[in-house]
Amino acid sequence: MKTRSILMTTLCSLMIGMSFTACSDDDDEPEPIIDPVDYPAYILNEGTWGGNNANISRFFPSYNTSTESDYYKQVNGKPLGDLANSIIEEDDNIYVIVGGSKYVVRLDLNCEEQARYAFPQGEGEPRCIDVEDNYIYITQHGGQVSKLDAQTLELVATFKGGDNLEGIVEKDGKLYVANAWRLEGSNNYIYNQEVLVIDAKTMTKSGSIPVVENPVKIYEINDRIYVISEGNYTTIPAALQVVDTKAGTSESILNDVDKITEGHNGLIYGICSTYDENWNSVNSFFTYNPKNGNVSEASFLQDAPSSFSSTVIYLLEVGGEQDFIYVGTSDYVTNGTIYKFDASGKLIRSFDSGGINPKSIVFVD
Amino acid sequence: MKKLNPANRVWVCWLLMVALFPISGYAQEQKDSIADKVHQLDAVTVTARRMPAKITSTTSVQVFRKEDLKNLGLQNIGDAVKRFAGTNVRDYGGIGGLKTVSVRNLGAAHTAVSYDGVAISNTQAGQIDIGRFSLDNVSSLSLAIGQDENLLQSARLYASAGVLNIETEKPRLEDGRNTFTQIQMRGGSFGYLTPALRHWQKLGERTYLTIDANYLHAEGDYPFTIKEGNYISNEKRINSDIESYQGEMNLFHTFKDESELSAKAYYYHSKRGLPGAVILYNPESDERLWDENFFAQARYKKAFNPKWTFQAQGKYNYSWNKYEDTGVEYTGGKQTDTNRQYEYYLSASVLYKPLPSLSVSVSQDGAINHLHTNGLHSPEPTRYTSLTALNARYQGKRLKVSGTLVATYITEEVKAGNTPDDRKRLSPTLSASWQPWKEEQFFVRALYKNTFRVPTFSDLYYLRVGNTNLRPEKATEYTIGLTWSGTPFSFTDFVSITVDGYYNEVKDKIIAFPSTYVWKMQNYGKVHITGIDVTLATAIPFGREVNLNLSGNYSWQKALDVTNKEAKNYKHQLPYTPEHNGNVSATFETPWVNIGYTMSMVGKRYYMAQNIKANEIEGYNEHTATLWREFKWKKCGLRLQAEVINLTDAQYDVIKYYPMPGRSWRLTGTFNF
Repeated sequence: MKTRSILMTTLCSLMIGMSFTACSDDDDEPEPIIDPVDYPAYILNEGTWGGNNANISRFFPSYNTSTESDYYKQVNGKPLGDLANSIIEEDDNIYVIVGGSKYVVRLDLNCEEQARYAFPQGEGEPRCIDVEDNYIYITQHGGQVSKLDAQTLELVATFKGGDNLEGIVEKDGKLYVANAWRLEGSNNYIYNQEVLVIDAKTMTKSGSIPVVENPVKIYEINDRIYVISEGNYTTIPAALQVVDTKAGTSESILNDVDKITEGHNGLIYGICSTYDENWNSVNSFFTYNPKNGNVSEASFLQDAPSSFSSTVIYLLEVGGEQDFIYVGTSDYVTNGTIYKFDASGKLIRSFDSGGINPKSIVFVD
Repeated sequence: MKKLNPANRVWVCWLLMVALFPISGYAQEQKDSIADKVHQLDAVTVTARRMPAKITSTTSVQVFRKEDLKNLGLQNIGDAVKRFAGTNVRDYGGIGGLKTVSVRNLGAAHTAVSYDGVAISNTQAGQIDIGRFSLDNVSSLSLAIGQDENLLQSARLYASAGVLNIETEKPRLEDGRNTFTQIQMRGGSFGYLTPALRHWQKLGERTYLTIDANYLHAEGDYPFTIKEGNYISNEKRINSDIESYQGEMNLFHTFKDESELSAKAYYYHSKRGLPGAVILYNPESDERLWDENFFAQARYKKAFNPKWTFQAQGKYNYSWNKYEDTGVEYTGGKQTDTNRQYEYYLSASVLYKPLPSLSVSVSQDGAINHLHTNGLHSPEPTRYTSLTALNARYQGKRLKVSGTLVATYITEEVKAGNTPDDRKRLSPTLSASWQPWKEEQFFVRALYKNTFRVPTFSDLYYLRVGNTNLRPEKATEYTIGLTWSGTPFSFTDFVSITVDGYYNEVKDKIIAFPSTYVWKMQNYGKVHITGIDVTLATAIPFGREVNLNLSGNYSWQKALDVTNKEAKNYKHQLPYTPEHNGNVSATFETPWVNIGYTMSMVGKRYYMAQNIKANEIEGYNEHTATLWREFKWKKCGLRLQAEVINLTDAQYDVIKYYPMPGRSWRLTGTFNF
């Protein structure tokens, strides 16, 4: 009797153990063997203010493998820091701005740190970056653009002007810089209406281009410059504008635009975002054809999850060898989710971003 | 050997404590009525100190008496409160760091803080910085989960899910003396220095005046270590200094008809650095804060006869603060925000005892709160609040039942913008305590309480973030508990045990919710909280002059976010909520020197909403030891005390990246005459 009882207990324990094993996520999807020559992609997770939880996570676009969370820490043995604002890949280097921690770092294609520049105390937070001709250009709050050697990250020159500067692109020897806003007294936000034009060689201002209030993001896509102004968050809506660099003017394309990216076949994909009477996000997708100026409000995503219409979309990228479309969502408190679509807009899968607030992806190829 | 995790260490400590008490040793003569014994001890006012949890009350009430606060080397009110079972104190580190208390995870705004019977309010932020109040003149600190049993309370204290009650010391002039003066000097690590003065003056046969004043200075520049994987950084906290002045004057008068009047004037001023979270690789910290608070309050109490008692209270409160940050991102290099809050408050209560076993009372409060800020488009809100509390209590020989119904009416006006709809709401409470056996001090108690908190002025009106459509945040508490006190062992004065199990729900939780461009306050969150609080206390005499007092508590809590089934944190433990935590304290009193010891054990927590390894904060144990001795010479007294705080130099954070100080010391000399 006793022997039978022990046997039954053992069998039951084994069955319970097996049932737990069967529930494990690990068995849902066999992990393929990654060919070392396959190209990875890196997700920059911005993290939360004061949380020191910015990170760079790695995944392989060609495989349905899970994300390697905080790959930067795995490689370098230390955390990335607080609030990562920007990431860019150029000439086999990856540059990352960690705004809260106030430094810029150059990584190799395996994410290993090669050089770092810490911004001096008293200077404003670094925000956005562009790379051109062996120099990197970084905007800072407080009205400064720093020009650094792209290899050594030594400071070469600075431009001082404007207020709190955000997006930056270099085109034909000129830097186009979003001069976003200033704060004059308690809660008195003044939203600027200009993009500064700076000579990249001399780091002096050569002009400015009028735009809608509060320019924040600047893109260079197929040799044209686009600016997204965020408006004043109440009466003036966000706006996507295209810049005529020769004439020094800008032209509005569409209101309520939050982000754009270079799409397929010379098109631009974008997201409009506003909010309803209960302050929930209301999102829609659009396509812009720069050749004829047409905006199509038909989504470039065939089977977007219904949650896309009301969640916060933090990331929109197209890239990698197969030009997949990636949409990243965030709730600001848990890890983001990345949705991967093929070029026709068909959802392939979704996966954890490996950190909070997935902001950008760089593809190594 | 495998290292025990903090949660297991809590259990091991409890097991050891239990194992220390032999099961045998029941002597028949020790089966005297416990009530008698307690009553005898009451006469020398030692019992309450030794029994930190009330066992006969219908709700959980835990108490620290003045002697405990001094003898255990507790640093401030926040430090004391976190040793109560069921509390969650958010401590941002350092002497000047913000400290708020939340009872059973209902949120700091659901916990009222009462100072000598009058609730302290902060309609702007909704939470009270309990670290600000000095412990030096506190005679008792109690935490009632649910509500206190006193039926002559203001309605505001009935309206909260829990009440932290700070009672300051009343003058006790003995041996025919007319005055009492005490001078105290305390110094310690990290530039800590606090001189304090107390003076009690008898102004007449029935009138007393007391004055308490202290000055505090601390550099707060303590070292700490950040360890993240292989990354180890030894740093020093900067911009953590504080300087404050605090004083209060109390007048006590007993009229010929034995009615009592007490009046208080209080002033506090501080300037401090706000070191903020430690930001990796970036040591800059520029934020500063100035605080000023003045209030005057009075209480009048008259018992017309054994059946009728009346109490009236009034308060005027003025608070001001200035926040300043410097940086190139501000035009002119500086941002300055100032806030002024005014409160006018009146409360009247009547207690009627128609039968020896029945008491009923009604309390009516009225308050006006106004906020003025220097911000552009400041709405200058004014809130008018009416609170009415009806209470009834039946107290039979072995059954006690209390019921309360609080009616709230709130209306607001602003100079610019929208106002929320008027709020009208009833909040019921029902609690009971039953003694199954007359001869045993064993009680079964239960509580149901439904409360809410109205959105703060910041929730409603803060630029862009505020939302005037907010509904109140609702909290419901269900508790069932067992309490027992007795003398099961011949070598103990008593043993007291309380066990309370609870289930709480918070609905319409007010949180900042993101949309693409704008964060907005919204009624979004929903939380289910289940837990158990256990307290244990005992006193062991060794001869006539040597005593060992032991107390401890343990809390288990599951506070789960059940807001959104699709979210990655669905049914995850709330941030900064350990599943296990506990405290042990002991004082060993001898004729030569006295020793105090406390230990706090906190299990692992998460600092973000998602319970994943990356968000985990390790548990910690913190130990504090105290040595003190009192000398008496004629009518003078001298007390010398030395404390070592964080004895093991544990490196821990209560709030992630707000490191707490390592080992530090304090010396205190108190001279009275």
